Amino acid sequence: MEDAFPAPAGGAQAAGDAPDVDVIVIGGGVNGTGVARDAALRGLKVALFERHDLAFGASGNSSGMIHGGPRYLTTDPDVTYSSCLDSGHIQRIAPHLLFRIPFLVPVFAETELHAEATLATYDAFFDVYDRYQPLKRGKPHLRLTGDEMTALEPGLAAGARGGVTFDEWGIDGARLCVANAVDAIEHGSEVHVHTTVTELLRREDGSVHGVRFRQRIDGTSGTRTARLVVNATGAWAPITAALGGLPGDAARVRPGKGVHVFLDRRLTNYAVMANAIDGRQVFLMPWQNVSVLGTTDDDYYGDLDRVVATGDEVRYLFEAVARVFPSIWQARAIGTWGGVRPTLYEWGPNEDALSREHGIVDHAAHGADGLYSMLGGKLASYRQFAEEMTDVVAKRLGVAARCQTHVAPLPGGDETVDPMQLVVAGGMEAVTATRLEYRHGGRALRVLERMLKEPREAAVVCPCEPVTEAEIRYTVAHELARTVDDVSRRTRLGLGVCGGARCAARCGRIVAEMTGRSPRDGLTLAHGFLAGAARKRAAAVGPDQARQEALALASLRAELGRAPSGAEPRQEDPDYEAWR
Amino acid sequence: MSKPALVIVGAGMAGTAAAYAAVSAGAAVTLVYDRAGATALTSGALDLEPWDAPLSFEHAKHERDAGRDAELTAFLAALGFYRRGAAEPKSTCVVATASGVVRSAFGADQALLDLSPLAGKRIAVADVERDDWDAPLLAKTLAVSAWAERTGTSFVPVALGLLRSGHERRIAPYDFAALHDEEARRRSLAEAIEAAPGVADAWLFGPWLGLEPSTVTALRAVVPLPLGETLSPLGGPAGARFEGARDRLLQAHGVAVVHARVTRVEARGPRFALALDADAGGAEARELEAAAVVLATGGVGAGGVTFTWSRPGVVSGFELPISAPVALALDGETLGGGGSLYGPSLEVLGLGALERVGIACDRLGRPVGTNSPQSGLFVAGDAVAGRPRTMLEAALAGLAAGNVAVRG
Repeated sequence: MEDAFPAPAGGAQAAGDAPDVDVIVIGGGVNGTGVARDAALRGLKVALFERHDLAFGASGNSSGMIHGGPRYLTTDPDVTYSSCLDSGHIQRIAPHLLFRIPFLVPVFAETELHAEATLATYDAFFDVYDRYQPLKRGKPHLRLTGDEMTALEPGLAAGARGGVTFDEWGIDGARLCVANAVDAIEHGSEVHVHTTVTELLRREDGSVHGVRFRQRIDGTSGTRTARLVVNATGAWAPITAALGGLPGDAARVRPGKGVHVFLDRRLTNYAVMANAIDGRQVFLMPWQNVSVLGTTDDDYYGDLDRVVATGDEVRYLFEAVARVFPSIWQARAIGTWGGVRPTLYEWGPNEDALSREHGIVDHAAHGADGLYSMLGGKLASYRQFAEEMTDVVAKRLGVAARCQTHVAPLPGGDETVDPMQLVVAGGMEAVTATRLEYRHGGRALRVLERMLKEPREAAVVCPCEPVTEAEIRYTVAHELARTVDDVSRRTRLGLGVCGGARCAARCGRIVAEMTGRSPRDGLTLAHGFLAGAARKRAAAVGPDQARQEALALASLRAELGRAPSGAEPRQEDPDYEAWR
Repeated sequence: MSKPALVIVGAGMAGTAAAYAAVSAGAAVTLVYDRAGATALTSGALDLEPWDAPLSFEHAKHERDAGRDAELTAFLAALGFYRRGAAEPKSTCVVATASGVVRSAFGADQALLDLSPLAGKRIAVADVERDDWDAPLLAKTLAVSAWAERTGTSFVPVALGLLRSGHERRIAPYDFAALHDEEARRRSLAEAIEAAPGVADAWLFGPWLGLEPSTVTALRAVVPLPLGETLSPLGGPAGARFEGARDRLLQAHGVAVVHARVTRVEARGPRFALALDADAGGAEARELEAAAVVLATGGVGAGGVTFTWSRPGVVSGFELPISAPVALALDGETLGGGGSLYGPSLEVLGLGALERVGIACDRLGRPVGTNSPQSGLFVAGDAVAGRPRTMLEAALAGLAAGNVAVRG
């Protein structure tokens, strides 16, 4: 076992003792890790608790863009401005995690006159958006003819009369959370993953001064005290507030489910916008090694711990995109992801019309001084939101240090590495090196170091993405990965065409070995991942993937079988006697 | 072409077994197939019931008579599958997977290492530096398996320099296995084993010991210790060895093989007509006549049942890609007749539905659920609805269909 992470000390503090830390942050999404990092950079001592894994919720299941929000331009121009501004900051601090995604908006009007009118409207609209683009180094929009559109994207449906382009940035939301968490740790914070807060501790006067927690992997529990507690649990925010006995409307959000389907390869060169049957805008975009189809926006009343896309959501997206990109029916969906937006609460408007603004609630108003909730917000402006929250915390705690997160690089963002350098030094294949460099930036060199020290670790464990053993071990040792799902979230291991059939069992055993568990536990971790991935794929399975799924069922049965932790036949099993 | 008595469609385990049984019963048999199915992707383990869910199928067991068991044993031997002892039902093999699971199986591909006689022994796990193989981790995992702990069997990684280039580190197991069909490579493999340090009672390899069944036989002739493979991954050498053995068996038994795609099976009076597509080899589209037909076309995995998910306005769902007087069924219900504009919802049914859907049949493999059931038409293997998708199930169903089709 290497680089063990000690569990937090469990002893409850006696009244009057100094609190364990300055700030407790609940939630390991982009807001929580953002606040933890910001506060740590200002010299505060932080403890972060995450019930599942970093980026488990909306942060790791968003569209994977830090877009400037042209959607909000007419209703919420402030959201567009702050998104574009913060997008620029994120580029500065984590350049390795961003990739350009140019969008095409094709126009298929019935008549030339209609098309002309629509194009003129788009043109004017994006003229305004272009004013914000320099904030995020975005290119100004272009107006194109139908022929030009088809030349750029030959798969477009016939009859495009023209269109416009606009420029956005893609990002891996999970990597962004991990980078923030790692930086917080390197500046003295504790980050506890798979650790759920079971109670907000309150003094007699009602003020909040800490949390009770339970480690969900080993079952240990304890308490941690702090001067302030920040609830950054996104859609879980009202649940977290309830753990302190606060009233139901104290930290209210309007949860909005958004699902994405991902397809086995980059089907297009550009992202393509389409209109769904209800007029909503959806898109098909090339993203990392796959194509992503998104997204829906529906009020959500389900279990936040188990958000899964349904067949009708998938169908809705396919039908919409098929109108502009007909060959989508032949494409192969290999998975879905679903997240729940923690939209600010409002009764009445339909989902799309809800504001993407964010807000901070000081629960002193509910008799719970010392507790704050972060509500709303979006990935693209997480840093801004975290800064606002940390400003409140710093002011309250009398800390004069200013925010650094818009200029201080995130881990890996401070140094550029040429992937070819990794190829030459580590003997990696170019695609392996390129993906590694994307995920880790300058810290790819640390993964390389592992390989040079232990050449076995150069083995490619997940051939789809690809992911090396060294990278898996690095995510466990330095990025808090504790399960196969965690490794997958950090590396996209097991998210390719084979759905983890080739890598999950090995990854599980590596994770188990490094965290002091038995290889049998590792196989159980693999089973958990494979079952979860299959559940997420089921809604999107099409003709070709159906064959793959049927074969994979047989193959996984042969390879892992029932209850791999024991590989024990049941008494009813005809082989049982022979087994004994 | 003469008019064959029996035409079998599909050359996986079920089709091959049907051909074997029918020829053994004295019939003239033509076997038509188009492409590889699920058997060509076998792991090499021979199970009767799905290993992970033996109780999920209500009537998993076949009614087998004593004569059938001898026939089964002979058929499996002809294909290069072995069993430890012939007496039912207690004599099983114990095999290992590359993920470190140890489990029992009714039988296994000859090239796999049967651990059952090695209980309590010390087994060397060949430490070959391939990307898809981590011998130290595998040995550690096997050592804590329930079987190893119960029997006191130990597993140790032992370094074996088998790779000739960095390229061989990454090629597919299938391709690496093919290298050992060459005599020179096979010899150096045997020499490497001999030169390896340490004392072991047996050698466990990855799925690398040749695409030809003769490769492992030749190795065993020169290496004194038991040796063999783990189960094959999807597309590993076990499937290739099955195909080779099948081709030899069909040839030896005088089965006429036609490589073509059957598009239609149709009753014409007491006989059947099968429409064959033009093939890539230049053969024209044509018809075959048959007194009896066995459909062994596989399930969803093989493409024997397709799942369509098409544009609006096209009725979609599970379909049989050939036209035949049979009906598809899922979970006891005959499919067809609408009910869903967009096809079945797999997130509700579960992906396991892909293994349960197939042609509705009675216990003897005769299609049911159509208005005009045809005597002389039989279905076997994964093509049958609600039967376990296992090699042994396919073999037994194939043998039964071949017998009944000929003897009536």
